[in-house]
Amino acid sequence: MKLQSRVLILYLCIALLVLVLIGGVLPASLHKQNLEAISGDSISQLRHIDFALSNFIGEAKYDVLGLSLNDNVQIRDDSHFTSFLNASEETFQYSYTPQEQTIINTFRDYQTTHPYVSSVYMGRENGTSVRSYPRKPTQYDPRDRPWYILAKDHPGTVSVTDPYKAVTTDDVNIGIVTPVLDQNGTMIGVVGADITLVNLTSYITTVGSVKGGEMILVDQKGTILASRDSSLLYKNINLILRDQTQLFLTSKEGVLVLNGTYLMYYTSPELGWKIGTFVPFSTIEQEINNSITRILMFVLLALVLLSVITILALNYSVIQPLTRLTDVSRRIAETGDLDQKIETGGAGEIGSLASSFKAMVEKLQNDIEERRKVEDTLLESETKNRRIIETANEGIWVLDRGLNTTFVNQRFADMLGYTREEMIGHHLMEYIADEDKQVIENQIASRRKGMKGSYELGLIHRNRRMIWCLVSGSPILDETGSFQGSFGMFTDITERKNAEEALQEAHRTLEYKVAERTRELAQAKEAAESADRLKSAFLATMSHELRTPLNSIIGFSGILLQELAGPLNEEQKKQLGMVSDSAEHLLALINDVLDLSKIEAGQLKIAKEPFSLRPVLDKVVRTVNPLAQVKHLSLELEVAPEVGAVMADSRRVEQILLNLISNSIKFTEQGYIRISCEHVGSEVRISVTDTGIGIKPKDLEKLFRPFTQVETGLTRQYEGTGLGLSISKRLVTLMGGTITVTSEWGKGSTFSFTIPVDRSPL
Amino acid sequence: MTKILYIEDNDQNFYLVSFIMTAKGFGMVRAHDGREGIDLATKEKPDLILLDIQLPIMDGYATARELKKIPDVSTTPIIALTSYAMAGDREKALEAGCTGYIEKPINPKTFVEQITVYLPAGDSPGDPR
Repeated sequence: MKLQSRVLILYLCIALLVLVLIGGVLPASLHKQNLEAISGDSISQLRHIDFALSNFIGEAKYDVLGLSLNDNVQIRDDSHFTSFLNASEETFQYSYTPQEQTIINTFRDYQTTHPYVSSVYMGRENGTSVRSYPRKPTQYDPRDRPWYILAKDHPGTVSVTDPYKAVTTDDVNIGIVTPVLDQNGTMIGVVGADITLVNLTSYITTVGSVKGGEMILVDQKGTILASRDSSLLYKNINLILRDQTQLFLTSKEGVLVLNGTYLMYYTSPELGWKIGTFVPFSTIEQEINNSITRILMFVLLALVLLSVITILALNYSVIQPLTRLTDVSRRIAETGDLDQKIETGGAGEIGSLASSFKAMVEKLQNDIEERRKVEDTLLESETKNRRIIETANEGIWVLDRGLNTTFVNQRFADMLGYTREEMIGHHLMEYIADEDKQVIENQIASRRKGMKGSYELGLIHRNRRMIWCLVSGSPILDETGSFQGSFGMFTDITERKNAEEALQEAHRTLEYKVAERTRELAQAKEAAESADRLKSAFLATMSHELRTPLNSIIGFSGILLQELAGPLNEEQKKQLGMVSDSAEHLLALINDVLDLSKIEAGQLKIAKEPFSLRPVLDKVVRTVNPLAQVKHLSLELEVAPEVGAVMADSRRVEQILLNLISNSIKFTEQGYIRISCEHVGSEVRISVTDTGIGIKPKDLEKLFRPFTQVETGLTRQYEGTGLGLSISKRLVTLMGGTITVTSEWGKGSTFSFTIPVDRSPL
Repeated sequence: MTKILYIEDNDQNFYLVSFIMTAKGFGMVRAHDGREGIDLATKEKPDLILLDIQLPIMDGYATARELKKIPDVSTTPIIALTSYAMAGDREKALEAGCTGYIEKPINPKTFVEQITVYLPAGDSPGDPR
């Protein structure tokens, strides 16, 4: 729908709404307002009419007073006047005296100048009477008439009578009367002028009317004095007003609601009469309708004007620019030509719309230019990709959502022995080896979740041969991420797979062999361990069995040498000493072999407990001191002050020290043996330095091996089992330390070993 | 005179120790096995017991445990004499209730001193008679 039509419809709706509001609410309020206005208006007009009427009656009174003072009228002589006291219609003859004729003329003049006056007359005290025009000759006594009695009762004033019925006509009159006095002031008669009610009505109607309503004039008693409806004249107003009559007569002014009309009335202050006007309901309704019509016309006119102005304004400020924009966009849509002139003048929304539109068109132009470039690049890239796809060593397979083939490259078709066209439209499962169908189903399920995957897959070649492929699959998703198909790269690994299987076969064979060999080795190990246990048991038994005879040999040779059993000669002593020494050597040998075998069998338990080093050193020095003294060697002990407790086995430390020191004493002929002790990091280093024969560099490495006493050139010059150093090395190692040696041939040697410092809290 | 009970099945060993000890003025009592050793210990109430470990019927460890149960003997020092020198021998002996441990072969020069250490103070062997 056009904008103009929309605006028109909108205004129409507003107009309808306004009309409904006016039609619904206005009449009631207008009615009251109009009634008030009209009644106010009416009363004000009634005042005017009353003013005129009062003047009219006042003038009449003045003139009647003038007549009563007329010289001719004031004539005293009664003989000049006609009497109707005994008049008969058949016999009566008019014969006016000149005097009487003069009065009649005066009266006629008066009547001529007062058109609403129907008759001017005079009644006299003697019963005669004069009239402005001839009357029927009927019996008549003026002195009985109401007008005469009223005037006589009110001397010195002009009175207005109640309406009364004429004697000779059907007229109903009101008389304006006053007494006539002679020169002496004696009342001689009454002069008066009659106004018929019909004339009074004419007068009032002439003077004015209210809104075309019927006028009515009512005297104090309720007698209707004037009304266009002559049938109402001289009737009582209660004929119309009924029970509202009292209210009407007693109130000064007001509005009465009658059947179909309102009666608005006003009481004349001068005359005491009530002047009223009947306003039909329809008059007011007419007024109201007129008002409403006027308002409606105005509203309608305003709306029409507003519509026209709005449409013109719309047309100028909105529709024309919009039409121009529409034209431009239609041209763009039809021709696709973005080079259009766009007017961006104008303020407000339309102006900014035009600016935005222009900006959009420019943006579109830029975008299109950019897209064209991208498309060029894409085209180039696609050509390149197509070449890659076609020449790729990998097979490429694209499936749609239903897993039907939409694309394969030449390589993939070749792999399976089909042409590319033969594969298009065929379902994935047709090419999958039976044993791999579960694999592919799992993979497709994961593709549907948007996940990629690499896996191995068995495919079926056209000639039913199995083709093994390494697949790299990725899902094709639309912008909402929903599955649209799948893309797969296929590398033929059939040869590799076959090689792998061969390899696996070889591997299995190898494993079997290894297992067999392992079993054999385990058996061998078992045998070896068993042999080891046997060796240990053998050594233990041997040790015991060897010791028992040695006990006797050493014990008894000792007893003999001590001469407990009796004195010996020198030769016996010498020979028995040799027995004893050999036995001691044999015992040492047995002990060392036993120690070594225990260490190697892992049976030697090494305590690791804190003990103070200094007492152990002192004890060892005490023990070996006699040996040193025999060879005149000085034995020195240097203990650094920081040396305290160590974490080791005190008996074994003692054993090592004894071994090292006794070795030094053994191989030193002169000089000293120095035992020093100090902290090195978290260990204590104990060194035994001698000034002995030293060791050749080539022998140093053999030093700690079992049964290798260094070659001295002198066979068995130095006693010893050759096991001491190798036992010491093993013991030091077991305690977590190291043993080292430095030596210079011919100058001396230094043996050092370390043991851990006690770190436990004191 | 200080009385020493020596439980030993080997005659040569007993003779050797007995010779040394009696020469130094100790009184020696011999038992040949554990059972006899327990009887003699109860009867003789020795000042010290020398105990061979490798004994017939009942070995030295079991014998030591039994000796410790005898009220009058429970405080008597028991010295194990053994040519076993494998790992744990010493510990096993001490665990069984022995007070000391001397490896065989014994050293005749120092043996008496080794024994004397375990005797109660003042209980010297006395002069040889």
